[in-house]
Amino acid sequence: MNNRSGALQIAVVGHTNTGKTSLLRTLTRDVNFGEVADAPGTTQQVQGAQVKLEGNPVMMLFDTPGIEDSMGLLDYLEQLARPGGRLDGPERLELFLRGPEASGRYEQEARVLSKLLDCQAGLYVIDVREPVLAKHKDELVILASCGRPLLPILNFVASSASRAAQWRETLSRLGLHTCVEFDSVSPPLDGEETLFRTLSIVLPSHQATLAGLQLQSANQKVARRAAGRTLIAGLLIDLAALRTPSSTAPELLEQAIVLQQTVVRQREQACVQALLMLFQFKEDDYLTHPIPLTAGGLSVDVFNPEALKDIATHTGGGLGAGMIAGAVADVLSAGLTLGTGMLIGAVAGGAALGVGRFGTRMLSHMRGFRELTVTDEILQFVRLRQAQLLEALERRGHASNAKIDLEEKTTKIKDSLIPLPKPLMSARAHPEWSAVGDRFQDSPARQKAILALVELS
Amino acid sequence: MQNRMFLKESWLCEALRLKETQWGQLDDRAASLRAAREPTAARQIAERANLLGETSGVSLALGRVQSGLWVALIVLVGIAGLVGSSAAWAALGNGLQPVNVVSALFVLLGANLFSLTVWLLSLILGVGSGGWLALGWQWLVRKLATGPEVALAGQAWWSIWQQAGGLRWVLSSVTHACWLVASLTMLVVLSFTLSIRHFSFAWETTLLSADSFIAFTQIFGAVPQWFGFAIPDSETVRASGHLSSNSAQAQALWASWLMGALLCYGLIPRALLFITSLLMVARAWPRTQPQLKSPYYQALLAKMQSPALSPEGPPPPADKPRYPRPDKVVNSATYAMISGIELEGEWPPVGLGSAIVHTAMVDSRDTRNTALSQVAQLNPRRLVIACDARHTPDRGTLRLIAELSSYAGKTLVWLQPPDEAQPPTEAHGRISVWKNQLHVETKVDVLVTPLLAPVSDWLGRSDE
Repeated sequence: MNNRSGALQIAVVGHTNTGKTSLLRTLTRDVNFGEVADAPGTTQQVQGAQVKLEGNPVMMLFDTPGIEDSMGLLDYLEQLARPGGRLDGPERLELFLRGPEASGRYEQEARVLSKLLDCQAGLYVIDVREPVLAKHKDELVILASCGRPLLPILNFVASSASRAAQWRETLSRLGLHTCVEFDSVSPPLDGEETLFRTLSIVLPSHQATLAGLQLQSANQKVARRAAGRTLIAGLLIDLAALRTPSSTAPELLEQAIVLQQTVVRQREQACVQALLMLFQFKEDDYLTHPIPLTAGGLSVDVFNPEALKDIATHTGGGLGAGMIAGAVADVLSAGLTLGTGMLIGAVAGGAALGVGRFGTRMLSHMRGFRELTVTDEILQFVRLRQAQLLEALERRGHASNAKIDLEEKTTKIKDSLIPLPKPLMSARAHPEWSAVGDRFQDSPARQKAILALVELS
Repeated sequence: MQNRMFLKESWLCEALRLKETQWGQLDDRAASLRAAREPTAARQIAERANLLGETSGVSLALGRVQSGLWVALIVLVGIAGLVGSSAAWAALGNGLQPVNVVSALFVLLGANLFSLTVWLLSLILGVGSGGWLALGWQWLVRKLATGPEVALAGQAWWSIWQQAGGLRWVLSSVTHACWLVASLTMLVVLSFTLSIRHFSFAWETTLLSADSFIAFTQIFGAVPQWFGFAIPDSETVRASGHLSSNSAQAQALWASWLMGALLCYGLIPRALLFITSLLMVARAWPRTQPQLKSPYYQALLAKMQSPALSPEGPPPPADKPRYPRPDKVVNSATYAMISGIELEGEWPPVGLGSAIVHTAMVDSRDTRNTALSQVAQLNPRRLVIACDARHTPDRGTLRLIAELSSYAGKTLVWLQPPDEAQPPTEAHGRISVWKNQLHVETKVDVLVTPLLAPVSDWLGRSDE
């Protein structure tokens, strides 16, 4: 026996093509573990995977080949038992494993059984889409004779063709009253915790380890969600704050729009990649649909009311509030009537940063420049799409081969827009908050806005 | 300390984290492979960051920001020194007129005490960061260090301290250091100037009485007295009220009183706060380590240290026939037979011709043995084995098909596809799996149809 470092060892067993390797992929969050295909005998060798608790491997899960010829093997085992007289289950299996057929006709089954005999328990994976057949019952009889606790895992319960009830009844009749529903392609949110908790009922001597793993997986789930939301909030702040200056000349405006669109799409793609990495999926697991940015998706709004309000609060300390109010009214009513002289005077008068910032924008506006920003609709679109992606990732098993495709859903929600949340409104007034803008400058205020946005999601 | 990272490594890790979350993943395959050889998780993350930092230019940016931080600090401290010495000059004046002790005290301590009050208020209220000077430091660093990735490196520097809960104290230590230097130069210039030049001191008032001024002197001088500085007695104070020249002894008393006040209310508080800030920074220092438990680092580590172990045992022999077949029995009979494996519908199929013999339906070990012996006894000319296409063709089933077909002249596997009414699940994939496996392992023909007619037709056909 190779019980390295006292880790709890568990064999994942079952009929062929029931998703044993898929279960391991999902439990270890390793998309590259083993090989997965809808065909019998995909896994031919026993392969282990470590499950870590605070960095220490405390549990080893062993993927085994599928049992394919349980009827033949059970016949053979009964034949073996006859001459010896009274052999118990494990003794009979030892006899089989020493015999010639263990490396002959039942070579694959022998690998499974000897691994299960090495382990403290087995997870019996069931494809509940299949009907309960005699060969499955024979399989359970053979596995039960290993003398190890077996915990049935009902895989593919989310499928429409599920026959979970039938399976549960059969399992009860065979004395297996506890089982866990765990769809390895779309696992339940608390699937891992349920699995560890149920396993600790079957394995009372490893309760501490399993309770630790249960807690860890719950914590990690919460931490992952929070991290995902922070990534999305960062993306939204970056986009809301983004401003691309442009000349009003049509061809230059066209160029600026293309530039802005590229930046916006790249920034969203970066967030998607970061989310996929966070949830340990492959980079190409998400079908990218570019944001439907038309020229209308970007707006020219130098005089965003929020921007003006911000300038008022920034300069309020340095200048008389009345003067600022007057200036704002001036800008709002006439747009361009605010004299350069007044601006220069204000800057020279030692006003706070706000006027300097505003002044630059005002001056560039008067020189025939505009600033492009991302519209509310696009921001909402990105926000909802990312939230959906996060949810999809949380519910996705690492055995899933299908790509995530959110196109259909997002087009539906496009109409139901709600007003922009407050942190995004304030980001509108802070072009320096945009990490993809050329004036980027991180500040506690920006971090606060990101946190506030996370709270809202 | 294998598990600890240096501050610069933590900083680099944070810069890369920000880069990866804002700009997308870096190509880290080579770096991850090399880093995976390090013994601990912290070292693996640090090594990956070191390698990626070199290739992505982030390390270079870090270096620039680092020198920017130092240069900005030196500039600020230099300015503080200049301001301190000129304030001391300004406080004493040109020496032709007596020094007004109150305004001298105000010049030496006013700004210092005001900014100290603001700093204390911001500490108590938990707002702001670390004083105006610190804001100047941050601004200066941004102006000094420019270039690609530099904004990111700067952001990462403040971010690690923010996360460690030490940003306020890093900034505060700069603020206090500047005021400390300013106070120190004031004291040095003051004592030097007072040592080599003659000044006379006076106080003036229009509204207040001399007594209130005496009380002020006493109270202000109480603390410096503990350190051995003199307080002018009430007579001296009264005498100094007149602009007439006072005695040399009185001037020495005033000079001592002034320096004592500067030391006790200007220099010592700043020195204590500077030391406190440094201690707080030192306390936060260990927390600048990357949060390896955070999902970002967990995902990175999982990528580097795959949970998968290598496969156990010898690989299965590739050339060995997986389905040993019994020898073909010569068939003489003329029967046509049908057998079924694990079917759910009615058995025998409704409408089966009377000429066709059916075996037991194979759904257990007993029925399997019965069916085998039935086929073996009759040696049919033609045999149909009906199977459900939804099942996976496992080795047990294939072996049974091979064994059954060895007793028959010609064998056809009748694959019954799932109901059309049911949603098309993975059945189509399974049909191709059946065909593949049957072709490779048993070399029998396959017919996929839900109907009995073509099957009966095949059974009724004569062999040439």
